[in-house]
Amino acid sequence: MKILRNRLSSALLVLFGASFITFTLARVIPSDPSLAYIGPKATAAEAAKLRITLGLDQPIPVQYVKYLAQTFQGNWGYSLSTKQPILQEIRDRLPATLELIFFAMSFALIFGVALGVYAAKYRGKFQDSLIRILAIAGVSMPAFWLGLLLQMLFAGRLTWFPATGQFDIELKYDHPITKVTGFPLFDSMITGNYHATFNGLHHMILPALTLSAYSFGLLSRMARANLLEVMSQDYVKVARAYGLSERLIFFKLALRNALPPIVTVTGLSAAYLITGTFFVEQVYNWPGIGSFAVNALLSIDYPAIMGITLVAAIGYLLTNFIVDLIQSKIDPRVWMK
Amino acid sequence: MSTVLKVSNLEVDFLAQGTVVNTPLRGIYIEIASGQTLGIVGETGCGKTLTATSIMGLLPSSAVQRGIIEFAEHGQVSVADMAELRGSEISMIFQNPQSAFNPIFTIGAQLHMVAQRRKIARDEIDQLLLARLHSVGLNDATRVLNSYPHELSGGMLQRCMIAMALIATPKLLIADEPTTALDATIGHQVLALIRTLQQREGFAMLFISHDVSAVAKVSDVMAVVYAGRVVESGPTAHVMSNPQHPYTKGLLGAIPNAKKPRGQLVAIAGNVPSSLKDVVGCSFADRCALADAQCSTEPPLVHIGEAVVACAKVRA
Amino acid sequence: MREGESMNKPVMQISHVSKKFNVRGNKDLFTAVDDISIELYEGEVLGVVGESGSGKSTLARCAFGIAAPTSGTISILGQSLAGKSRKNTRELRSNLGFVFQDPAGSINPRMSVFDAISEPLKLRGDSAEEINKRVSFLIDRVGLSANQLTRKSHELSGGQCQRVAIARALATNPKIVLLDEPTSSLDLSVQAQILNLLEELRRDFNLTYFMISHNLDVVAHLSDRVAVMKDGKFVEVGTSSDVLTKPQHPFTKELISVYSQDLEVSSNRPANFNLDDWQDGPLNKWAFQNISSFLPVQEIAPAEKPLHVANAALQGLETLSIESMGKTYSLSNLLKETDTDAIVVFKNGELAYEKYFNGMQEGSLHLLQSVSKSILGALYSTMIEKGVIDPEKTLAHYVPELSTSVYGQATIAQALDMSVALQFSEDYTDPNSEMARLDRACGWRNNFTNQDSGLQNFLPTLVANGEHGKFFQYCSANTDALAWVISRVTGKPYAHLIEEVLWKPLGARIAATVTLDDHGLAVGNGGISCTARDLALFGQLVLDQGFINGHQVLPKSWVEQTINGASKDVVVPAYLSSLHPAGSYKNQWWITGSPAREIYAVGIYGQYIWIDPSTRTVIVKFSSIPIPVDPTHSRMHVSLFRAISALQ
Repeated sequence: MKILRNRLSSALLVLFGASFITFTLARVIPSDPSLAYIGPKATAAEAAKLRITLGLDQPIPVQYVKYLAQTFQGNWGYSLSTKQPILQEIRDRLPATLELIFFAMSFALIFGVALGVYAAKYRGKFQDSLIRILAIAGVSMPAFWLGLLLQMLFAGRLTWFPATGQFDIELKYDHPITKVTGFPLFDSMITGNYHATFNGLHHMILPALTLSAYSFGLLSRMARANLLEVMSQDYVKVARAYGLSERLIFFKLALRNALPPIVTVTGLSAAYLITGTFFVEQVYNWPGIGSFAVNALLSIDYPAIMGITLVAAIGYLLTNFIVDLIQSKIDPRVWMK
Repeated sequence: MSTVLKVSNLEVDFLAQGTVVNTPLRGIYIEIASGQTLGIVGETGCGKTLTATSIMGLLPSSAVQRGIIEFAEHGQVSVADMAELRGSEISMIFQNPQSAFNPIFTIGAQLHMVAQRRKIARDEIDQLLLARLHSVGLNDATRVLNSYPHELSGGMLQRCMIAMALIATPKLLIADEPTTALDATIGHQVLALIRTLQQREGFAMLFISHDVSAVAKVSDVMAVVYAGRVVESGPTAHVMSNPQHPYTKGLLGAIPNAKKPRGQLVAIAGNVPSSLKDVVGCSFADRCALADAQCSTEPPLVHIGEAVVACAKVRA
Repeated sequence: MREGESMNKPVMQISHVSKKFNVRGNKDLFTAVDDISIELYEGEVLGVVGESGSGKSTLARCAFGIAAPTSGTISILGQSLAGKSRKNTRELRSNLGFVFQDPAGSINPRMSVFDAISEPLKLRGDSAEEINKRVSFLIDRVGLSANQLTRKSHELSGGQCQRVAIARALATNPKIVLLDEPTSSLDLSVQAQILNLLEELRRDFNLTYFMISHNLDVVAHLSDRVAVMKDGKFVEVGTSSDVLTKPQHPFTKELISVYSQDLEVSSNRPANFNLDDWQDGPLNKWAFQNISSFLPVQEIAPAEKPLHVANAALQGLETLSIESMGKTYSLSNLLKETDTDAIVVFKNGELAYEKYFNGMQEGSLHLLQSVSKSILGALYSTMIEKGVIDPEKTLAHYVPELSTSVYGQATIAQALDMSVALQFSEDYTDPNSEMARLDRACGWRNNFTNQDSGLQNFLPTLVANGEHGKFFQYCSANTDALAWVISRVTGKPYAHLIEEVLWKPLGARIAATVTLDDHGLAVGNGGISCTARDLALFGQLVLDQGFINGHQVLPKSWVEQTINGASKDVVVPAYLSSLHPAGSYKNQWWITGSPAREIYAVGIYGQYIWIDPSTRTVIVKFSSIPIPVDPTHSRMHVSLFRAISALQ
């Protein structure tokens, strides 16, 4: 698996690149981090002293190398606003976000591909147009706006779903979740706390739907277009000429041929989902990394921003690495390219 | 010798929003006996491939076909009947072997799907496939079965295609430009293989090509199509040595070779008409040196010696 | 310009040009063009033909300065293209024109015909007036009309596009034009128009064409000289007529045969042919001569210089009467009675008689059946003499896969003498016998179950049933095992061994074949097909104690040992002792034990080599008797051979 090694090493390179860019940006933006740390009322002398303590007086390359070394040792610095270790903050919030992304991704994949396939099968018919409208709506509606709309309709007016939060507040007292892996929904399930599981799922639906809308639109269009393209290929004509049934051709052959681009798009839309959480978590008051990121951005909490960027980059690379692996399983030609 | 395929007055219309926009086939008459090869020769846009598609019953939904297709002991067959016969009694080989196989399945998996239509046990299928691949000259059959299409050469893929076509021991094999995408020497081997297999297994063949010399090599009987019609047909040796229709004559005169004086090939002026919707009379008339007022009505197919010719200027 | 003068002036010189490419995942460079040198003379058409990947396009790209060669030089009108900037070579480059395969693709779809043709003129800096004049001249010359000047490429047919491309190529008045598959995307009738146009333009403007094509017909029609390219090299260069009518290189011959010959197709295959019955009559009448049309075979190449055999007269053959089992036959009656396909008689090393039946000819191949075994015996003699194989070692010593079978104990010598004691019924008529299983393993019978697929799976299943070296037990599997051993030891396919050790030194005239099983192992027990004459040559080799064609091909001692026969201690079955009272089997040969000391090779359905040292006679007979073994036929054959041998 020489190629696998190559991909891993190139991923590492990208990570270095990402860390370098965020680091540099944090240094060149016209806002002194030390001021943010001790507050606006500090004297110039105090600030200068702090700059030395924080190592900000050293040349930027030296600072970067130190930063890298620290990061590797697990010291990601302290958040300027919460004064907590950043790694700690991220570790506490990441599971909630990952669960949200998982559900959003699942919704997008299941509904997107299924409706895309359906639209392809009924190309040009009424069903096709309806799905197209849904897809365009999903792609074009901003997440915060869609989030608010869904909240107003399903939580406010119809009261089918709770408006905000990850669980009901009372849950903490009557059905507390035992921590095993740190993923609350998952933990509630494996510890048999099904009350909490259902409550969590109930809370999950609206934010996950909101977050999935864009990817859903993209995937359904992608699935439809790819299937139609595959259905016009020579090998489909050949399959027909050899009397294979339309069912077999459509579901067993063509669908699998259409998969690789769908998987690629899924990987790419992971990036969107990560930034999407910033808004969705804000709207639904979700205790994840997204809302933490928004706060960090607003307060120019640069160590936190850098930490979050690094995590996002790792997440993105990991997703795409997995996508590549899946790709190679589906299409034998992938490693050749 | 019994007739395997007889096509009479096959016509195809293409529709758009309910109106006819083109009539690319306007009178195909062919007949193939068992063990025999009929070669259809003609230029791009003359309706060669469409004839095959239409016989297979695989026209797109925007097309309407008329005429009579009779197949072996089934007599006259409809498009729906054809669906049953495809892959069992009729098989087809395609022009480009690289695109005819699905890139993400192994050759074995694809042959398996075709073989499963014969409803035989799994391990017997394996035996059958190995035997088939051996019979088309692929001696490392096991490796071929486990290969993906991009791992094999064009010549090998075309052999696989032939093996696939013969899994069902068809009565009729339709070969649509089977050697066009291959190098000359490889193409020659493939043609020889198809012929050998035909003598071994006795299937009838409809061989479609723009290459007159390939048709001459392979076929017993040939039909020249122009603008969606058969303009001349007859025993291959006869048509090749004694062409009657001005188009056939032109086509044979246009084949370059070292023996013809340089710069003096027969060049038929003009081009094949792109739409055949409003053709009146002989469709070749505007490219024909012999054309006159007589050619404004469509000439019927007339027996002249051993051949059948559609031309008002050719008399027995 | 006078013809003689023009032909002496090279307009383009390509010398020692190579082009190498990096191939991904491969450390070595791929050589697309390999040290090619050629000159183009003014007014000539050089056609380069080759298949895809032969390097012809790369060569053309190098020659016309589109790609830089890795090494070598190109000069145009005496000036080198290399080592100068584009600007400096612009003047030189205006002598070059290009016409490519895909006419529509080589014209910018947003350009009108006028723009496309005038583009090179604008680049050269011509005035608008000059351009207009030149374009209308060109348009007229390539057979387009002025009203087509405003069209775009998608509004033109393929032929019209190619005319535009030709006009553009000629815009700057070039001397040399590259024609890169100029007609391969066009229909036949349009191709003819373009080829005619190209010839007309060449004549009128004294152009020189460098034409590349995969279509030999097109190249042959237009070219003065043809270069045949394969794997980056010219395998043959010459005038069109020389290359086409007297091709020297095998690849050229193959290419030409594609265009001229009819398809070689085995014919007359019986309608009821099937893999279970083909060896029996009447199917064998066709099958024995057409093995390669239904079984996979490997070729045994003949000698480059076949051995010349003189003719000799043999008196009294036609009037010969042969007595066998109380009946008297004339020669022709007996040959007919024994379903003869071919008979060849050598007397004193000269061809004394040959006759063919059942559609056979001098050059026809015929299946040898078990006569193949005797060829294996001869093959082994050379390996044993050289010490490559020790006859006292077991077969499994060389092929470990056999160690659990009977061949774990039996020695090579015992297998050669057929004195291996094993559980094996050599019953050719019983579909359940081990013999039938062997046929399935060889691919000689339908094998619908996965059992016994290939010799490598079947042979290891054979078990012993007694003490080796005591009894003569004729068993075909022994020979297949021996063929496996000799291929394994030498690392060469069985067919190549026969070719190297016997067929080439022997001076064989026609390529022979040997059938292969599913996994590519040769069928040693009976898979060879060859001509009767070449087989007689092999018989002559044995008769002459291994010496033929000026070489000692087989060890003399081996021939003597074989003629002396097996030890008297080896018990012989009744069928042999009743035919030949002192008969035995040695080194894959049958020994009559009679005073004449004849030895012979025999195969089922009537295949023979009969060697009589006392009268220096070799007889080869091919037959297609309906049943595999018939004692009456065996006696008739012995009587026939002895009667012929007695003639002087």
